[in-house]
Amino acid sequence: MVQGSVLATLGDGERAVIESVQGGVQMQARLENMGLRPGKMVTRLSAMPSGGPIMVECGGTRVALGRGIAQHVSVRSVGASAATGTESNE
Amino acid sequence: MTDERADAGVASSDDDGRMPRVLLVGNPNVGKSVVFSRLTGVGTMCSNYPGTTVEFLEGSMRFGDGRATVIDVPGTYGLSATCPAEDVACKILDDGGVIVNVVDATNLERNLALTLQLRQRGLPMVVALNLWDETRHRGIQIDVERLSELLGVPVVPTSAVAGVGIKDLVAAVKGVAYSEPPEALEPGDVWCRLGTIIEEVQHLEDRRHTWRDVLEDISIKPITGIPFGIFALLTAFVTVRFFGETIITYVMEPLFETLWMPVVTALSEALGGTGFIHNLLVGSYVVIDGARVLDFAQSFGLLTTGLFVVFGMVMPYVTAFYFVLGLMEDIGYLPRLALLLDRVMHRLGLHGYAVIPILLAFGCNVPGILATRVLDTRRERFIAATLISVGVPCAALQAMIFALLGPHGVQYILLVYGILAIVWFVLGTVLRMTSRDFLPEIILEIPSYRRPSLRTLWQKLSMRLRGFFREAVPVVFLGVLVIDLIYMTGAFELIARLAGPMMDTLFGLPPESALAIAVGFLRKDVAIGMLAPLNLSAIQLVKSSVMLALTFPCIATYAVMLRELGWIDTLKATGLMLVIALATGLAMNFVL
Repeated sequence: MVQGSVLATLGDGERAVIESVQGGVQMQARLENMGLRPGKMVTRLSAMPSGGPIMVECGGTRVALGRGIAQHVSVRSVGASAATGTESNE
Repeated sequence: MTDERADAGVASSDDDGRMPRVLLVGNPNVGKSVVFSRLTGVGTMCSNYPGTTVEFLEGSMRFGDGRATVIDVPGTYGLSATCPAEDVACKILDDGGVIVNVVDATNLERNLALTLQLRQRGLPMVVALNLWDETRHRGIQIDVERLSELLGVPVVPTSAVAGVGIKDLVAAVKGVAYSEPPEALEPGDVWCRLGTIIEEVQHLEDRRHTWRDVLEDISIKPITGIPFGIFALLTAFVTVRFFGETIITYVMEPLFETLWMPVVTALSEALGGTGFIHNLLVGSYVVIDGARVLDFAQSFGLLTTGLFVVFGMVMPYVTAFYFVLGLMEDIGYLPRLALLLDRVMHRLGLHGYAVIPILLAFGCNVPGILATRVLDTRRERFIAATLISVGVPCAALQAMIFALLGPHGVQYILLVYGILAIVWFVLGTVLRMTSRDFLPEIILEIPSYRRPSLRTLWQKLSMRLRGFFREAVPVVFLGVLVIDLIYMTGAFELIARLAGPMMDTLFGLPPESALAIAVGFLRKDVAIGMLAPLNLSAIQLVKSSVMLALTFPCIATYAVMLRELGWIDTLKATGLMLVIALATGLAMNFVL
């Protein structure tokens, strides 16, 4: 779908592949250790209202991220299939 | 928290290497503490790594003829030292030992990232593939033998909650402890290596949606999650009250009345029923229903009120509270609460996970303030500690507020909580706005719901209770003692006379209430007890309860704040507290 979007702008249930993480080395390392790294498939699960954290699923782990951090993760959307409950691997 | 233990925790293994240290390492939320409680028995200690605020658990396990130290290393996602917990984990590993890497089998890929980093250290190591029973429900198949080959270390499937696989784990630890340590992995592309391993050993099947998934969805979507959160907290609150009241009414009160009262009465007679020592130990007689009796709540002797406040009133609530909190912790609900409340907490200048120390403080402010150590920055710790000491009523205070206002109706109790909540948010907003430091955003794993282990719950409860007794109980006794001594000098009457008229004009409270608020510095619950004989109206009780909650925290909390924040920040917090209490008192007098 839209090329060059970020994790923060995905819709609920939308799936995407992480392209790159902008930001400091420490933040990159923390995200990587949580399983969020380039090439991985993520699904946005939900978002808290009024700019609260968003929740994503990646490789079986659910992670809550501040909206600002999610702005720094570039993704390539691959559509909204996960909302129906089917699970497939990348 | 004791120093000698902390030192022992970081000492390296015996010189001859006969008794190795066992280091439990793993991601947070993989059941590491359940494995820990399975391996160790009684005598668990919670220590601080020297020079840091990071805590770790230490225990021991049978090992051949002797006992080996087991250390529950702080949960970590990696070894790159990006936060205090990781830093401590690295330091503990630097001192060597046998690594037991606890891995969540339902989440192999993320967990093995740490495993591969650990393997670069070249230490003897065993992988515990925990939550093994869960893999079946989730349609995950793992080739354990192949995984062991690829990692070069033994891999043992375990289900620590049920106690499955623990024997094999112990055997494997003994096996590697005395043999040649495996060759360290070359630091290389961890992610690439990880990908190949996962591809080879893990097979995922499609799986059905289980009720647990439904529950997880409910608790994280804002529309359902927020009502669910409120429901969960209310349930927790009601449960704590129910258990607390039950223990008080059916266990502690009968024990005190039937077993302890005769002892105290005999002592009183032996001491002649009056005099300095008598009043200090037994207290004074009070008149109830025309009879002159000793009363555990009102006599104010060390052995009557002192003991009763601690064991009869406070301990039951604190026990019930820590049990329920431990349950919520082990089920895995707290991170969800942190996620839901992150936005709200940001308005107060805090992170979502600051809810954990704040929840703890509802039991007793002392452990709450100690728990602010989990917060990353100094500023967050200051805000959280100030908010706790000013606006979070501890279980003891709440119990007394309930006892005092209960007869007048629930609406008055709600009024007290409502006023406290308003004050709390105003104070939090002020604190946030006065500081322009950057508040980093959360990166927080939301673990799956887990079946709690009674064993771990019990271990945690007894550890927290021990901490409570160590930190708070001596202060209560000291408080009662000091009140007694000052009372005998007549200083309190002086305070009441001097501050009394002001109480009336400013806050619409009788002069005698000044005395209670002065005593509140030592012990809030005792102070509220002093309000009882004043025959205050319901609204006056509401006002004085709020004032008591807002003014100085009890002396134990104060001591901990001083230790944790230093005197400059403690003074700042005190100043804020006084201004807030004064302003709230005036506002209440004006509005109510």
